[in-house]
Amino acid sequence: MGRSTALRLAREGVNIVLNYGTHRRGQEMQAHANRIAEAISVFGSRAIVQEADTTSEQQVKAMVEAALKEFGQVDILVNNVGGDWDIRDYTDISFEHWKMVLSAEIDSVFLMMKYMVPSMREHRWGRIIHIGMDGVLRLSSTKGVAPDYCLGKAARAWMTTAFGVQELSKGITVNCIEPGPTAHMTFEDALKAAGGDYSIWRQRKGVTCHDIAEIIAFLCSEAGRFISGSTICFPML
Amino acid sequence: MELKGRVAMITGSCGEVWEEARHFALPVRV
Repeated sequence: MGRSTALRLAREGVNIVLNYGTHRRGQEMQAHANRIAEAISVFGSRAIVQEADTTSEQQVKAMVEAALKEFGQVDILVNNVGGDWDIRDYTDISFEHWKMVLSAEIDSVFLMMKYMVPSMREHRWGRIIHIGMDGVLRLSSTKGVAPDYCLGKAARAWMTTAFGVQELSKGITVNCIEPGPTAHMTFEDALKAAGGDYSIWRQRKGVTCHDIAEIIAFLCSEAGRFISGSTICFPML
Repeated sequence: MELKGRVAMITGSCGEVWEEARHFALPVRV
């Protein structure tokens, strides 16, 4: 989802800061991020890769400072990082796991906004998009599974409404996209779709990461200027 | 679109790759 979003925005000439490292680190993740950065350059946009744990205030602060140093501004924030989806009875969830999931879902959003919104307010332009989960506020539809994950996504819905209304008069919109199951696309197919070749994407039977990326691009556009506090759902078919 | 020159930060990724999301029984990724 993050990859498709990065590529789709890059097609519009947006420079990208790619973050990884909240859950997974190491050479494999770095190589994956570098591959996306290379593809972004094909669109004529620039990209930098930043390894940082978005639940760490120190690391978020350093990452935002590095991005501002590199580009001078950051206008768009996509809170794509999230907690683990792990179905088990809530009595079997360890307290450590509970805190880790909620931190990735909630603390990361708080920290990213805390350190990025001041610059957006200064420029009176900003677009913030959270990735949530379809049906999370219709409590019956989640059937109580993965309660830590669902609670975190519900918090994102709250932060969308509350901050979306608060920030609009400052030129910043805050919205949430709530996907259900999202079909995987290969790197090559995602790149094609992001580049405007929809021949493969059109054959999809359900929601793909590129569907999400298109909506994010729309919310970032001029047409999205006054859309704030909204949640956009992709219900399960 | 009019986004040329803007800068986006994208955090990632979601912690778990849902190779086989058990409750949906579909190969999906969130």
